[in-house]
Amino acid sequence: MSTYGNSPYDYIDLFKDRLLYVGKQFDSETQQIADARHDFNDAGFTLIDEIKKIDEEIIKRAGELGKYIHDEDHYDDEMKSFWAWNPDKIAEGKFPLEKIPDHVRTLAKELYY
Amino acid sequence: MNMGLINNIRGMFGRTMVALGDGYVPARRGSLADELGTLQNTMVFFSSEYFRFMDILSWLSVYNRDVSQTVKKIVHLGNVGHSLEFSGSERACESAADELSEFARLRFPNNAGADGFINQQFRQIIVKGALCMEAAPSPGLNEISEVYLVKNNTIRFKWNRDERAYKPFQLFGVEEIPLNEETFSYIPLYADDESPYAILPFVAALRDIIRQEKQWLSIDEFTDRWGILGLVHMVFDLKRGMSESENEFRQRAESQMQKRIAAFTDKMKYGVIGTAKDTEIKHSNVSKNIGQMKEIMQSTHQGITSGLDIDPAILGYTYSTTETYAEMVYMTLVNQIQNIWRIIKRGNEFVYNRHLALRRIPVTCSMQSKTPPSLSKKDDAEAKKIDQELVLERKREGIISPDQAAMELGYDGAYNQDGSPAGSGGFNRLRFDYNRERGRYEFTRPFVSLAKKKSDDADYSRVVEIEDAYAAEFFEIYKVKYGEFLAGIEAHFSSDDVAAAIMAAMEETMGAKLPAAAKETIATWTKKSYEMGLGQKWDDDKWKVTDRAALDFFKRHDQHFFGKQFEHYSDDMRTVVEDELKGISAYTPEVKARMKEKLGDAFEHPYVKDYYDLCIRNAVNKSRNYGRTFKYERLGIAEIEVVAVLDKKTSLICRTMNGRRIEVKMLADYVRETLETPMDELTEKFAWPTEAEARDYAGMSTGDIMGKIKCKLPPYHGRCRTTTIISKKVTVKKSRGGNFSGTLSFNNKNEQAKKRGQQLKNLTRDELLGKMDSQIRTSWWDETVKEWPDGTTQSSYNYHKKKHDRFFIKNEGGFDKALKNILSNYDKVYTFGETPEWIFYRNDSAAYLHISNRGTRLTFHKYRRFIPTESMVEIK
Repeated sequence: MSTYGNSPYDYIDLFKDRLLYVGKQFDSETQQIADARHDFNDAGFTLIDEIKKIDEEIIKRAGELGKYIHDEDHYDDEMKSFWAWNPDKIAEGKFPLEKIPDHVRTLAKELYY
Repeated sequence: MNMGLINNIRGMFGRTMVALGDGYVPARRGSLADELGTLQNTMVFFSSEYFRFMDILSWLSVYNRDVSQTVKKIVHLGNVGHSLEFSGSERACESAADELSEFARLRFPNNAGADGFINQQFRQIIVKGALCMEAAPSPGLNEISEVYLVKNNTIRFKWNRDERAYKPFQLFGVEEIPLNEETFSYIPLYADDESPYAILPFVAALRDIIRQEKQWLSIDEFTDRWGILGLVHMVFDLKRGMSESENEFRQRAESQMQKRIAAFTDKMKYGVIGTAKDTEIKHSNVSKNIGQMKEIMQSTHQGITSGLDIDPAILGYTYSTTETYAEMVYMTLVNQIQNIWRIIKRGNEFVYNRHLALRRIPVTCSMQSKTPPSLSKKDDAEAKKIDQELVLERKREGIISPDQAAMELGYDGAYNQDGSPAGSGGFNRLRFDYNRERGRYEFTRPFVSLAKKKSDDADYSRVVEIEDAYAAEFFEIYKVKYGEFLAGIEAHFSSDDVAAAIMAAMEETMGAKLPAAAKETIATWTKKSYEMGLGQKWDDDKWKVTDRAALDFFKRHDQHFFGKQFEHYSDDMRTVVEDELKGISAYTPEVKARMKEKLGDAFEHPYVKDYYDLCIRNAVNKSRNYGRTFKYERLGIAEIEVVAVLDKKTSLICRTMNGRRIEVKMLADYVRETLETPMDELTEKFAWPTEAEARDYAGMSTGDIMGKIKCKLPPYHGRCRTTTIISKKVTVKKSRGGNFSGTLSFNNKNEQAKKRGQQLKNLTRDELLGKMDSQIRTSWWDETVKEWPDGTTQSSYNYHKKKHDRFFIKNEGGFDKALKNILSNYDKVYTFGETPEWIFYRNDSAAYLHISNRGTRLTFHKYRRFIPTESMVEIK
């Protein structure tokens, strides 16, 4: 169940904003990228092109995002298996490829696996 | 002042008084009468033997071991400390305590103090049979200037036919001086119904004492005669010489015997004696067992102790004494002593009440003795525990009232529902214990709140009840007219200081004008709170913020507040501080002009102005906090909470002390100690904590801090805004229901979490929850305008609102409303870091609020799957 409760475009704005200020905002604000992306999934929104582009950027910047979004042995099972919460592992090629969405799996494989 | 009393003391209205000076003649001290001799044959109901016996017993009380020991034992067990209980207004009671502390210190002979005087009174009653004392008023009749004992054997009574009563006279040389019964007391312990004179308590022992004296005299003679070792029988062989005549032999034998006895006597002290072969020495014991002497002596001794009305066991003689018997004997003696104490109580209450009346202090005082030491403390404690449990059980079941229960538990009463002491009728009954070391009367709590410990919800404290009731009534009226407005400000009110919060909010938003509709309510409640010393008063359409406790404290102890720089202007400074405590600002143009006039141009100098500001603020804050401590002590509040204003200016020490709970008794002792300390030593002895010390205190328990910190109460530094409030059990409700329990959860293997966890473990549950809740409730947005990553220049609030508002709009009604909600209630709290930061989380809105160590709100946004990291400590 989603709790952000906004339209897909609100999410897209949030992703754009947080991705723009990585390293210049509070860690929790950067972590909102994973949190909102997980929430977007839970809401069952269609993967429109804008979201696909956002996901691509997340994959491309996985190493950078991994500094702020990573498991310190505190993730629950859902977070452990949701790709956006684990950019550090993706960047190391250790996150299971099958759990990465289809539209960015090839990109991830090219970059890190 | 009662003119009848003064006239009676003056000896008017037909009383027979000897005119001497202004017509009033106090009884003389015994020494004067003794020097001039006493006449013993002109009075009625007088026996010359009586006064001879009195003198003999007086002599024996010093020189006879049994009489002397009896007197000392009774004095020692009788004077175990006392307290005074005052009836009157609180302020009058305090004045009375101060007045009588001074009185107890100075007005008794030879600087004996009240305690030493009571010893003398005990002795006089035990030996002479009556308390015989004079309380001499000053010439202006505005105080009792001196109190002293009068020698009983100079007192005579005459029958006054007109008044049909015995009247006291004192022998003064050949004169008989009538004594003023308004100032002279003669209170017998026992008296015959036909005589006004006291029966001499030890007179029945006199015959046996004389008998014992004779017996010991006989023994002494016997001992002298035979030697304490017994009888030595010396035999030596001496033969008559051939040419020696009978007469010559006798002479030689006599001489030999004398020489040998002399040699024996001389050497005996060394313990070894050598004799010639012809000499034999035999020793026969001689003891008091001879001829049943032991029984006779014991019988005589028991006769003496019987006459003295004290058991031999008390004096240390163990004639077949068991432990049970000794306890019974002790209890009997304690009861007898209580009888003597009642006489002393009457005498001293008479003096104290006379003094208070002459000093025009409208208070009645009564005196109580402490309980003598028990021989079976454990048994007593167990019995007391059972008694207390039964009393509380009966109270719980509603069989007896709280007030009755309090009285059965040894208090004077319980607090009523409205917070006032039961049965007070607007008057207080305050008890002051005589501190034997300090020689003065100190407050002790006679009332107890039985409901306080039973339940956190009911009858919490007198003060909070009044404030709650006041607030409830206030909102009832105002909601009708200012519902919207109140909804806005209500959230800012902490339940601890509702009245003050209302005041501040009203002043800020509505100015000094309050709607007439609530005037009556405010006046009623504020009057009540003012009477309680809580501070606010509604008068002449204006709030008068008069902190009475602080004002009283300051007025009494103002010499402690001003530094050297302003000592020549202390009168002016005092006025300024008093005005400030009454709610009149120290910074009005009039006040400034007045100070400038006094201080001259120097007042314009930034340093002087700054120091003036520092002194005033310090004096005001110190008066409030120190004065409040005594108020808390009087109200029976056990614990206070330190409350700091948390903002960017808050110091480290205030931040550390915020939320700490400190025992009132300890603080009151601390304040008393500061008041006893000379001004020059204050700065060093009660120094403000340094930054380094403040850092150390952060991880310590409050008890440990109190053991180290020199300055135990705010102000902790110059311009300190920290204050104290009544401590109460903290309940923090979660937004999803239930309360925070105050337990900590953290990973012990994580060093950062472990360190932070240890810091928090040093706090009590209430301190932890109080600190946690105040962290969020007093959090603030840093209003500094600065440049943000998006290139804008704005305040933190505006930046974060713009960044996060959109995701709170649909379900929470926006950023502001979501923030307001989390400030009211939250579900999870985490704290972490060396300079600890805080995260507050609300489940229903997934709202995440990050607060810095200094209380600034760093960010506030939605965070659905927030899970704390390993370095965080959770407060559950």
